[in-house]
Amino acid sequence: MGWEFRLFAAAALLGGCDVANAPYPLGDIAGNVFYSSFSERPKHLDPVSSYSLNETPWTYATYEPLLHYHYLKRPYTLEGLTATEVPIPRYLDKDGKTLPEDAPTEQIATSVYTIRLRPGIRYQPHPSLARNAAGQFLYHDLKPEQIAGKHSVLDFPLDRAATSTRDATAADYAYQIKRLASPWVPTPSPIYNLFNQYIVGLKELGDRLKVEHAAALKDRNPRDLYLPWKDLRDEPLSGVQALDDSTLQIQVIGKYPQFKYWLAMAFIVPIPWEADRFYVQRGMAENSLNINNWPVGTGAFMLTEQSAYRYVLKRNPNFREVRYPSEGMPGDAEHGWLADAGKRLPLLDQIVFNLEKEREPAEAKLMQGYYDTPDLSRIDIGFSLLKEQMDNTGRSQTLREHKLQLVPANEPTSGYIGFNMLDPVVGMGDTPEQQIRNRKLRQAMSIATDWEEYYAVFFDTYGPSETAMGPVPPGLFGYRAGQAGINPITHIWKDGHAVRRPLDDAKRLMIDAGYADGRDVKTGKPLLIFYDSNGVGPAYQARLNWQVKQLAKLGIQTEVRASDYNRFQERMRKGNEQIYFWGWSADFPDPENFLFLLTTSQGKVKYDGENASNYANPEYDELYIKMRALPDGPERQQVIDRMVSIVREDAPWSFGIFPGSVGIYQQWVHNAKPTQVIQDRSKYLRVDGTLRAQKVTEWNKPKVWPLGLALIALGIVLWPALKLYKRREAANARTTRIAVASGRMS
Amino acid sequence: MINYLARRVIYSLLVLAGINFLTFFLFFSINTPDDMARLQLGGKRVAAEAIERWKAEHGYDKPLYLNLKAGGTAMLTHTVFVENSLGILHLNFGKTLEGRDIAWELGKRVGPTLAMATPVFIVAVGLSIVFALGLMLFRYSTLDTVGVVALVALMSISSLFFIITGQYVFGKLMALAPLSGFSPGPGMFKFLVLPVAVYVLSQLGSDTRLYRTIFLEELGRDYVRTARAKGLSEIAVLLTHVLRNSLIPIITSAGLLLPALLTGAIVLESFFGIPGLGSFTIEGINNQDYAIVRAMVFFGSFVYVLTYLLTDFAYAWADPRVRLQ
Repeated sequence: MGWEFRLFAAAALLGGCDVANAPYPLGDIAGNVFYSSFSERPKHLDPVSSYSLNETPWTYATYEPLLHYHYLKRPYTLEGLTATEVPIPRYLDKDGKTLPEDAPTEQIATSVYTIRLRPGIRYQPHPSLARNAAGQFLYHDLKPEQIAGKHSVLDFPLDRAATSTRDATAADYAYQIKRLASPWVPTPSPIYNLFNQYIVGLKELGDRLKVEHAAALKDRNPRDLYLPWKDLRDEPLSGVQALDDSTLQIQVIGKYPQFKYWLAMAFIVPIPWEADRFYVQRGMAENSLNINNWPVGTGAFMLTEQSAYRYVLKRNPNFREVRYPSEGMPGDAEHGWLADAGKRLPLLDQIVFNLEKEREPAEAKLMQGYYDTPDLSRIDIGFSLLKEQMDNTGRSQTLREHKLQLVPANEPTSGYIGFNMLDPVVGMGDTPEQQIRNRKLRQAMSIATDWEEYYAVFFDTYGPSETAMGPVPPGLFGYRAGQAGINPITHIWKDGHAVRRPLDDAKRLMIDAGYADGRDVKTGKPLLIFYDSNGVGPAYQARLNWQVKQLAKLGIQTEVRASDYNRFQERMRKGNEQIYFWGWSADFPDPENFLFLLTTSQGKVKYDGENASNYANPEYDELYIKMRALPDGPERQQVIDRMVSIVREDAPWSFGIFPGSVGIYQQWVHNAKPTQVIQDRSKYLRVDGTLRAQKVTEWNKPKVWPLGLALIALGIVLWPALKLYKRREAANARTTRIAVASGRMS
Repeated sequence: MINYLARRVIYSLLVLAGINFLTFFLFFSINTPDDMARLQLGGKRVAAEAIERWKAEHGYDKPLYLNLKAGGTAMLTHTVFVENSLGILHLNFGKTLEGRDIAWELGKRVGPTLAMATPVFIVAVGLSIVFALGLMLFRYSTLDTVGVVALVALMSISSLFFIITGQYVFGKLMALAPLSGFSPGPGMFKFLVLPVAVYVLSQLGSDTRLYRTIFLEELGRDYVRTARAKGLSEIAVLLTHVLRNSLIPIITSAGLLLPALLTGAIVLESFFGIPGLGSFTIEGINNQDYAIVRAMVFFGSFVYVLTYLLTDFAYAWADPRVRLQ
């Protein structure tokens, strides 16, 4: 084996690493670094506009909202992050008089949230905050030529600065809220239109800034990216006040208890005005230097490197003292999720994200130990591995040997088939008779669509799912499990289990609806339903075929209209669909975030909202308003039960599935409690680098002998070739002629 | 020569302008500015007002080709086409929808692409010539037949198969090279070995087969018989006479490979995680980013035009009878 070793050593030397297939040096692998991947660069890192899941590993690591969820407690529990506690609103009537906590909703004109900030919240080192000993900013008055050639914030050295940070204050939160309404921020906020309905004065501010911005743009060359700085500190916003450096007051219109959940999202975070002042300088935009690419935050990590193939987050040296939680749920200690209780966060020094466009190499590198988790933002991609482990097929042996952590969890997400209520066949219907017929048709189709079969067949996509019996997923207040929670329209309770109603029930409903055996009794024509899907390609085809098969059980013909997501959305907006498949992932763990999807004010066609079925039911709307204002408790449960009952009966959706989740983590990753709701989880993670280096070396021993075999095979081919060549060269004219005559040579 | 050059430059400019218009037309036949805005703003809670603001901010708030609300020349100039598309003719590549400078991105990404394309080009062309000449040495023998069958097999297999098999065998089973990834500087060597090998292998079948045919045709010529009659060895005949006289079709074939390599091997870069021009193109298509698509199509066209021009010069070098007029 000596030559093999020498060959490997040479290969390793050429590659500059200790393990030939290692994408990073072994020294780094043994370090306190977390490795993950990304398939698409984040579009927005500015907290004004970042709303996509794939951006959360960066935004929630670098920015800090006021609140967050306790890392270990379930159901999810809000607690203060930069705020000292979850604020309890004070209610005022229209005259500004304080109302009692249990005042009727209609009397409440304003909810006042007074939020106290923790001391010592400091920004990451950043050139925008760099000042000299005299207190002057080092990089606020740069000439374009001083910016030319600089494409990273690290190109602005901080070694000359007396300070490069400062404390975050309540005014910085107020500043960021104003940024949500500001057209000077080049990427519009997806949440502005929601917030301006709730935060007092935000809409007025937005309207005012819009006019000013249009005037500022009027004489500007459209190709010029420069626009002078707009100091939003000077702009009044009546509903948001920094009472002092550590007290923020936000006034919300009416009563909106769910507002506290928005305080846990990265829209309301501290942004220093200096950052905007720094990035606005002429030449910055040309070099892609802006908050959208280079965030400035107070979070546990800071972005230090970004390129097309790699993003690196490093520990923020100014991060204040935050400790790992010391209490959790039963079983957490057994999982080892309390082993680091009381330790200072973050536990990692660095997080490295590498580009992986394709799934296959990403999975293979996971199996080799080069990724600690394949995608830090998602826990819904481990189903195929879990299935292999459960079925004892494929890589199950390796999965067991590598002790990969595959931890299932239930997360507030739902998938469903929606009926367009504006459609004459499956929709609400114009006359009372038509309404009954259409409702029965929807109910029949809901029964016939066997979702239990769906998630069993498509386990690789949806994992250990649960049949949805209503819009509220498990884990949220309002969800009912067991017999009390079944949808009586589609299921019956039998032998302690929910069982889908027999197909005969659906067929009876079809007869009542006027479609016996799937044919319109009046015309005799078969019922043809158009099914819109935003999935195209082979991966979706099986799912589309499955859906066609479900409705065929009732004699219904289905024509699938598969299109890309843009075309699909366009049809939804115009109400051109008949039935469609869609889903919703929660913004926050409250039933309101699912029940609002069926309110009239969210109608897609009329209001461009999220109610793609355009369902409208005044009773449901009324109950929704009531439910939204109620605290969790029996009364709220009662209201939710009634709302769920209404939509079960009306069936604007065929309640589909609550997909499962499976977190994938290597054996050396600690504290990886799977969650899709808690986004600031990177600061809790820990890796055992020594174990990782040991395992990676063990799992990736190079095998050079096949190269030796290949060389021997080559020799076997070349040897007779050489002999043949020599023979031909030695041949005289006579032998050559004979060879030509026998067809062996030209 | 100068006339020839001037004529080619004028043709090239017309071709580039035409391609620029065609790119715009095709892109906006499939996508609308609203689609682009929605994709950028995300799928949830996107209000019509935010879409309008996004379009205004990115210069997609005007009609595509004809602005009937504007008067005079503004009817043509105050359009998305003129404002967002014609800048490229001044080599102003603009910015990505996320605000990144495209010229800078191209500068960063051309390095990885060149690092892969250069060895691929040299090794693939070189090896194909060597294999084709080798087969010529044993023409009409069993070895030649086996070789041709192997070449046809290589041609028939999808490059995706080579990629996946290469990653599986060398990255996974033998653990000799990283499955994917990239590192700048000398560290890139270990990341490029496997993609280069895979690309060369996927090219080998068609190129060797083509060169074999070219050489076979040359071998029947009189000058070859004369060379043999002089007593030259078969290797000398092939290397000094046949190869030189076959250079024109070889240059044509290699010239076609070069621009494809320089604009980035899209699938290869995608699977191996190489941040080159190919993956930039994919990024542009996936994000419905017209500025990236336009820049990459323009860059690709420019490389093709330039390569063909260089190919013409190479003809003149390879065969003194060729005159560029």
